[in-house]
Amino acid sequence: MIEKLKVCMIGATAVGKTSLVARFVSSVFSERYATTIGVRIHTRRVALGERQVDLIIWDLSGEDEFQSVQPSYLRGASGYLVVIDGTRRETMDAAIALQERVRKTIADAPFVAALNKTDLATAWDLADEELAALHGRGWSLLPTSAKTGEGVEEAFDRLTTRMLARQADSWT
Amino acid sequence: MDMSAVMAVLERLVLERLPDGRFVRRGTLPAWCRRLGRPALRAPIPVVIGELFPCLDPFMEAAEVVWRGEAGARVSSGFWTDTDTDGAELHLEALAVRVDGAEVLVVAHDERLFREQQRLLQRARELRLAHDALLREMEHKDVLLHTIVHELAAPLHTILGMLSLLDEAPRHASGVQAIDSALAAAREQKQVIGEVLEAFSAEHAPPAVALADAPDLRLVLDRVVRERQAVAAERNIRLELAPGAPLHHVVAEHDRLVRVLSNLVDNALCRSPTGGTVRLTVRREGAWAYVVIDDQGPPVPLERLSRLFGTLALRRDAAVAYGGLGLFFCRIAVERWGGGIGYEPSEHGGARFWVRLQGKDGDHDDRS
Ligand SMILES: Nc1nc2c(ncn2[C@@H]2O[C@H](COP(=O)(O)OP(=O)(O)OP(=O)(O)O)[C@@H](O)[C@H]2O)c(=O)[nH]1
Ligand SMILES: [Mg+2]
Repeated sequence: MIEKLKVCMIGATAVGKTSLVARFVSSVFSERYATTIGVRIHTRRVALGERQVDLIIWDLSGEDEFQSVQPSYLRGASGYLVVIDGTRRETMDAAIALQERVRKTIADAPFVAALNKTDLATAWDLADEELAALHGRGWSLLPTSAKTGEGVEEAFDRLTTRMLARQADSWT
Repeated sequence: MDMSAVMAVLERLVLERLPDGRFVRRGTLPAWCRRLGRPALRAPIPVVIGELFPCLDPFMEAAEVVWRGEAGARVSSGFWTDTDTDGAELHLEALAVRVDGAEVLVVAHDERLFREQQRLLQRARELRLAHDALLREMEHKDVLLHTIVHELAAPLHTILGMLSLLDEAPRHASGVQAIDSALAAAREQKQVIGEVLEAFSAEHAPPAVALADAPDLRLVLDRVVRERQAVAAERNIRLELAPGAPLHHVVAEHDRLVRVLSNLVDNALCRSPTGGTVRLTVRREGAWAYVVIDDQGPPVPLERLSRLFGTLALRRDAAVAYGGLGLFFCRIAVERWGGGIGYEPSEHGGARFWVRLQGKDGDHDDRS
């Protein structure tokens, strides 16, 4: 049987969580913003070397002043993707706060942070020092663009690799 | 009256939890369940909730609290989105309640309520985004203003300095030199004022460029490179224009194009290490002409780019570090001509700026 891994998308609202999933699962992108209410699950099979796994991707609604992410959704997740909108610095602070909260639910699940919207280079709002600070926290950062597809496969790949590595660790 | 039929008409699916933790359907199957295509629902046999509705798995802990608690208490899962067999979206919400000692899960399909909630949140979030964007824009305008004042003040200081020099030694030989310097500074200041005015008017109405005046890119580049050779030599940098670029008339204003390209070359010369090379290449792509300027200075980090060209993410520390308004004006000018300007790391490890200009109609196909 093909193994299933639960992956959650978290981050502030409108950072591109749904768009990254749409790019990864269906290779599509839309400029139109339709905010996610609650949760929606998508699936994609990936191959890592010999191994095949089904990623069960939970696209959650974003965190903002109107609604907050329920950490219970993260329960049972093997890993998660933290999404930051590179054109809005405040989404980085939101990501840090969220990650802190999520860590309490699933303590050592691996995660990858996507610095999304790299195609909008002239509006880029994150300074090197700020990114260095995230590195310092041990975050694994990857520039992505749901629009052009840049970094999207890599982000999920990297996360899958880490999830499988962690599994292997816990078996020994 | 059959209450379970009422529930079905209200699009509610009623599940009861068994002692082993599985659920069994009670009452009539609502129509939307058929669309969902879960065969397990058809017959009233026990099912695992995570197989029926995976989104409800994390909700079970909160539901458990209600089921163990007092009668009448209830908790909602909030909406989740499922897809029916045709791929259409179904918006569902579950309610956990305790009824007569039974542990009940009511799954409701309520598109109207979902749309309402979606519309409200969508609107609120869009407004928040627009508000934040506006704040950012205001901050950038502040910085822009600050930079403009700075740029205007610099030549003024020169003028004042020269004037007081003249005042002290009016008949001295250095007077002529002082007047020249003051004049040059005044012209510089006039130019900055002109650029500022134009940049702001450009934001509102980009003027049409007369095609008849489309400058010859090759001649412009020759001139820019010739004029900058002295500076390059002083810094021991090789400045070269790659041969073989086809003759090309482009949509632009001549003098301004000279300034844009000079500005980019100046930057490249500043950034390049002594002994390095700054190389200009012209490339054609369909109706476009690309001028590419490669230097051997350090690559520009992504976050700097916005500061280079934008008012968009211009921050207080940026204007000074990147030579004021130069690139900002370059961008405004080039975009007015329908072109573009940008940066990418060079294959050879240096920095590469490019300008994309529209070929004048009828002139761009003579080679390809
Ligand atoms: N240019 C650009 N736009 C993007 C990118 N990713 C997302 N967007 C746009 O950003 C907006 C928000 O994208 P979503 O994917 O809906 O964001 P989300 O994080 O799912 O938002 P919520 O569900 O409200 O939390 C949409 O208008 C997208 O088109 C990207 O990589 N580049
Ligand atoms: Mg979303």
